Amino acid sequence: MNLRSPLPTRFATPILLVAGITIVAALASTGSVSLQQTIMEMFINVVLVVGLYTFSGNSGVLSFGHTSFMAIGAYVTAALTMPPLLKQQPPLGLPGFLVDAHLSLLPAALIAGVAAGLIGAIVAVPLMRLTGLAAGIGTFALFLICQDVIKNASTLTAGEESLVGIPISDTVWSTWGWAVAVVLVAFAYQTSRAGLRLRASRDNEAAAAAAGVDIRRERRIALALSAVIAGVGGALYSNLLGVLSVTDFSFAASFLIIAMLVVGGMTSLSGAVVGVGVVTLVVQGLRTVEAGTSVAGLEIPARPGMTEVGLALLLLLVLALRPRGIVGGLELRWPRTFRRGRTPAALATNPPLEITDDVA
Amino acid sequence: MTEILQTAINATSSGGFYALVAIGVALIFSIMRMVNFAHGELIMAGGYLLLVLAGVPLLLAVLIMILAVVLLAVIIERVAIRPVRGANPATLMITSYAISYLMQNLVLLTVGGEPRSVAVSRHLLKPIEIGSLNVRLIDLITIATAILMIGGLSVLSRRSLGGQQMRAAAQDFTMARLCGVRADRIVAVTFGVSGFLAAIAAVLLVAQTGVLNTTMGQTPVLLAFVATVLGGMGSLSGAAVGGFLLGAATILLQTYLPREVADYRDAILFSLVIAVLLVRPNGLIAGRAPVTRV
Repeated sequence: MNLRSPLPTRFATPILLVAGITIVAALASTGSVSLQQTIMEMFINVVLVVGLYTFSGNSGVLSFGHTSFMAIGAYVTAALTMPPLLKQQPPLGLPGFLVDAHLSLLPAALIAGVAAGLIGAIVAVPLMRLTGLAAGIGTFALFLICQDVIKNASTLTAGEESLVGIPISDTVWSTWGWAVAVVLVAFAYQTSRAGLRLRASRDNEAAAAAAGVDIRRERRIALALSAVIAGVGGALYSNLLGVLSVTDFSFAASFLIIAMLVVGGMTSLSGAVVGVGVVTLVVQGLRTVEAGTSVAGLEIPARPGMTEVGLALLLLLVLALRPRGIVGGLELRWPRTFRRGRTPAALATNPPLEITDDVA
Repeated sequence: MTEILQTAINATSSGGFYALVAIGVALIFSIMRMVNFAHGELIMAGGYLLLVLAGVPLLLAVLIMILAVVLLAVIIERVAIRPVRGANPATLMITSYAISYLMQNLVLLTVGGEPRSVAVSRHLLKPIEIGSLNVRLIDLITIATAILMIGGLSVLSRRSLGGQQMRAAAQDFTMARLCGVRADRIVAVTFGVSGFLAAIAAVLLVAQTGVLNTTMGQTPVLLAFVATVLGGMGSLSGAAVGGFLLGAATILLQTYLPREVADYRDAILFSLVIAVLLVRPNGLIAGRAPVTRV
């Protein structure tokens, strides 16, 4: 990004992304209830995927552990927003100071984000000493630990049962607000000094270290920030469903978030948002078919499992055709005809994610 | 004393099984730099094939199943993995997960989601008394099979031409190709061998539990994946050691943890994994880690 280019050019990516999200919200807010539900889910996924992107996209280190931060956000929100009476119904048994808390979503989500961020900052200290695949496995171990805790800390999470009775207040426009805020935060971070240092270390670890970048420190910052975002995402998620169980944070859930990011293109913010849009579109289309419809007079019977088969095939197809994701690591920009001034330098693409053996 | 021996046998059996799965995962990783989640679905497919072949004599059924799973592994490589060969690790990993997701749901579509039971042999599960010990035959078979497989594989990888080519490709794929190793063939052979290992693991797993479901392969492979990194990525002996330790640690923690914290066995186990990785980031038996030099 050329810092000398005019403001509309510098901020093309967030302007275009926010515009896109806003158009979708405006269209959806006039639609049916089920459409609104889908779009809210999509905006929450934008929050979760951008959260993952903030760490993985900028650092190049994959994380399987982000559902842990999402879970922390979700359960904290449940503890803060549920009516006091429900909080003591067995197997639940929240500690005293939490029983009386009865907040609305906005403060609860902020506290949830901070809580997840704190945990993120703490686990980042040991985890970010690891590099490459060991770091990936470290985050995966975090995921497994979190699963175990959710299942067993039943006074806080209802254990293997479902936690019910979380008040629902998400609307299309409230989730829109969060999605927009998160996109702006992620953009601000990736163009900040800290963000640029981290991205430099992603593109070439050795060179960045030689230039004085403290890679571990930058990764810790990114992990904490992305944990905050994931925690907020979890808060919105619990508020959307009103029910939480351990399966909401399963490996499949974790993977869907990673898949959206990789389909869109892991190394750019635009890729994160585009990936959510495309996967949502396809999953919705498949769900409609799965429920059983008639196309041109042809009856298609309901087949459970078809959505998943279709999604898997889509993933394989996208990855085979565009291994670096749909946007291929680029950010959205104004169409060429509207651009003023000289900009070819700003079009430079990102180099490959990391240096690996060339397996032809 | 008896109790300790009893626990030791259980731990060895569990460790042996995970070592078997872990070398299957490590084999693919060493050559492709790909974390192969679909290995679990090869195990699952093997299990369901045993269900389909229920009427056939056991030995024949197992043979047919092994052949079919090996073939399946080779086909998966050809159709789904070859197009992304050489892409970045994240893309490779998502690809293998997509394959595993696809296979799970294809079984869901065709066979259905409810768990099925399939009995390999009742005799295997009956405890036999050796002195004061109660040992199940299947545990002894698991231990023996794991030793045989790992031993056989390490001999083959050193002595046979295919094995040497495989090791060469694992060390430096481009260089191996320049020296005349055929890339497509060696990758296909590697997948075939991993399919064979998955099929053997399937027999052991089904004989042990007697239950089939669409996600039965997922947990062993996720643990094997952890085990491979724990042992040392890129070395087969590392994977075997990591798998063995992880499997054995599961049983040991289960037996010796105090009751109050026993529920948190997995959380403790994986905290230990992180701790080990902090001390030895390249795993217990570090292979030659690729270091970027400027």
